[in-house]
Amino acid sequence: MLLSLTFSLKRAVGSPLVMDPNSICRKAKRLAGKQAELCQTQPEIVSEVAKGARLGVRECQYQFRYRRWNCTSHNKYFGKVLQQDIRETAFVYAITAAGVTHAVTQACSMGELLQCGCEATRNKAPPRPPSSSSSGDGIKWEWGGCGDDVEFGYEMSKKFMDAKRRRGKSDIRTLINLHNNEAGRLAVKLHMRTECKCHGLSGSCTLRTCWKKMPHFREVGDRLLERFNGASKVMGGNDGKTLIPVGQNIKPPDKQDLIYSDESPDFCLANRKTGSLGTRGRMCNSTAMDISGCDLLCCERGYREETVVIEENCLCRFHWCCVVQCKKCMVRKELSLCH
Amino acid sequence: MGTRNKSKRQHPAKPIFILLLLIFTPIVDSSWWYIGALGARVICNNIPGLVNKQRQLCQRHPDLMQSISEGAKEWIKECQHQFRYHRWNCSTLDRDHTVFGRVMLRSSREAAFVYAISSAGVVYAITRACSQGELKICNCDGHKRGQAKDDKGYFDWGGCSDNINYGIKFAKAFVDARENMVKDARALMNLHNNRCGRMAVKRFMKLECKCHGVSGSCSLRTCWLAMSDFRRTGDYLRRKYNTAIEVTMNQDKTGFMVADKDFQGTTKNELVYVENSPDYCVRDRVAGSLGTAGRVCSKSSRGTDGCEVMCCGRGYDTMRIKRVTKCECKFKWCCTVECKDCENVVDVHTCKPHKRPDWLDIT
Repeated sequence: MLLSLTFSLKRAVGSPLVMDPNSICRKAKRLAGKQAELCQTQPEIVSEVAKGARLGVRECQYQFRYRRWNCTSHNKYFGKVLQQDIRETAFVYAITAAGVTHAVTQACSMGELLQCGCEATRNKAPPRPPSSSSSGDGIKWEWGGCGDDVEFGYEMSKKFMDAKRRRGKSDIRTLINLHNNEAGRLAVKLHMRTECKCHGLSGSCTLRTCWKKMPHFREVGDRLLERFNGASKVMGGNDGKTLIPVGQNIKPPDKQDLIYSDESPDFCLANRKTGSLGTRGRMCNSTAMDISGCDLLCCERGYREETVVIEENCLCRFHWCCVVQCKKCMVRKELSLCH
Repeated sequence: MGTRNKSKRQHPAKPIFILLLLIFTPIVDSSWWYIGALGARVICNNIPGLVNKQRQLCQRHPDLMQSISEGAKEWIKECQHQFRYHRWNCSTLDRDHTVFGRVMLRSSREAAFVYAISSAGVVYAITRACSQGELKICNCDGHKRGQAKDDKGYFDWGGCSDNINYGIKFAKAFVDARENMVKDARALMNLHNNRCGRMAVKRFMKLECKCHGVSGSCSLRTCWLAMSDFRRTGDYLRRKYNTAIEVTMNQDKTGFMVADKDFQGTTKNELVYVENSPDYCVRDRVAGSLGTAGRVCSKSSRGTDGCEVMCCGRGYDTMRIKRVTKCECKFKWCCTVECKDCENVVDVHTCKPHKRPDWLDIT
């Protein structure tokens, strides 16, 4: 539902960088109770949520850029693909949930939201040293700085995206979506890194202040792509509430794994029913052996080599203060395009 | 006189006796013992796929055939070792007299490799059998006699030098017999690759020496020429597989032209192929490909045995299985090794099969 929001937004508003928070709430008519409440009471959070969803879809397009289905959301077929319970949908849901978590937490840390700020460190347990340096040695550790309040982002993401859960009345599809959303959020929350700053005598590391930061979003995307590769197929159990993996001896999926229930359609050829765009004209890598290679990406149809000249920013310089000026260069690139 | 009477009395009983014997003696059927007398003829006639010349050679040298048959298992195993991490893993089909299935019908790189390594396998098996004295027709190389010199000094030829030339000669006569019957692109390709395989075994012959000078010094040496382990030939041929050259036959059907116009150099020691390989990712009955569904892949590897490449983007299933291995092995005096059984739970990743979604077939 949030995803239909994002791509309907893209059609409504030209550039994805500028967005009016009020327009989401106005455009989306079918908002459920909690979300409508959020729209009215905390519109800034909703704008961060929308930013997060866009971030998620952009990351999805980066991770899938060399796969047969490349997560293009610029057309009406995106919705068709998301209606199927396939691996790709699992990834999109997960990365969107992760994107919302990331964006909201980031906004908190940057002070853009009134409802949250840096992570509260007063009641926290003494920190564990982040690196495997020698313990003791009179090194004092302290939590300080501005840690990312990932709990807030997690809660917001949950509130906004998991709004459809009804007690005891969930169908398999909803259960799968909830699991994948949670997997996306955990990919951010459970992989926080600790950064420290030394400030002892003349910059030595006898005194350190540490804080927790979220991983880069690219890292989150990479991690979810790995989970996508190992996604488990599940089916509904007899009680209608549990999901069991299909196959013998299959390892049951844990909280961070992605799950799906239908097989992916053939994304090689365009098909309106499945929402596939085909791989005609896609850019492939002529030397790779995996799915990004021209044999697999072009589905054995062959490819052609083309030389294109594109305009790029080059020779960028920083001028004091504070502008970066770039020149435009024409660059020749050799591309391999599928037939 | 009495005896004559006796014989006269017995005389009428004799034909009855013989008749009884004939009725009650069991009839002796032809027995399997005859196989000893038949020998190679019956075996050679029952191998499908031999051309006439090969059958003649088979009947003339049954002991050589025995060596070749044992050698076949070895080169197939070597092929499977070299390709164990690739999508096509040199798998053989049971009860199929083409052994590799329809995959070999296509003149691809894989066919080039298989033909080369099979020739090499025959050379290796025959040469080894010669050196081990199993064959009557050949034995150690008689040309290696007297003294010779290498970069470490003088040595005497001795021991048993492998008679590789005989191996090559017989392999050429036997394996190439089929290709000499037809003159088309595939036959020329096979002949070229067979030769490449034979030469690959010869290439890795090494000089082995034994020092027996004053108190074991190497002032006096006895040397012989021996074949290296077949693994070296396998590795070499796999490198050649990676750099195999695509060729087309030229107009008068006598030779090859390289397809890539920018190619410099000769095809003399390289493997050649004519057609592109089929897609080994999915199961294709017509092409003979078994697909990669169910193949074990490695999650962390970035090479061809990694899950991304092996599974062709379909993803992998993770299975949790218990592996029982021997661990904490201790030597007990004297003289056994006692090990415990350790149970590990390991994650094994296998490629997902290619499946069409169900709902598409309904609507």
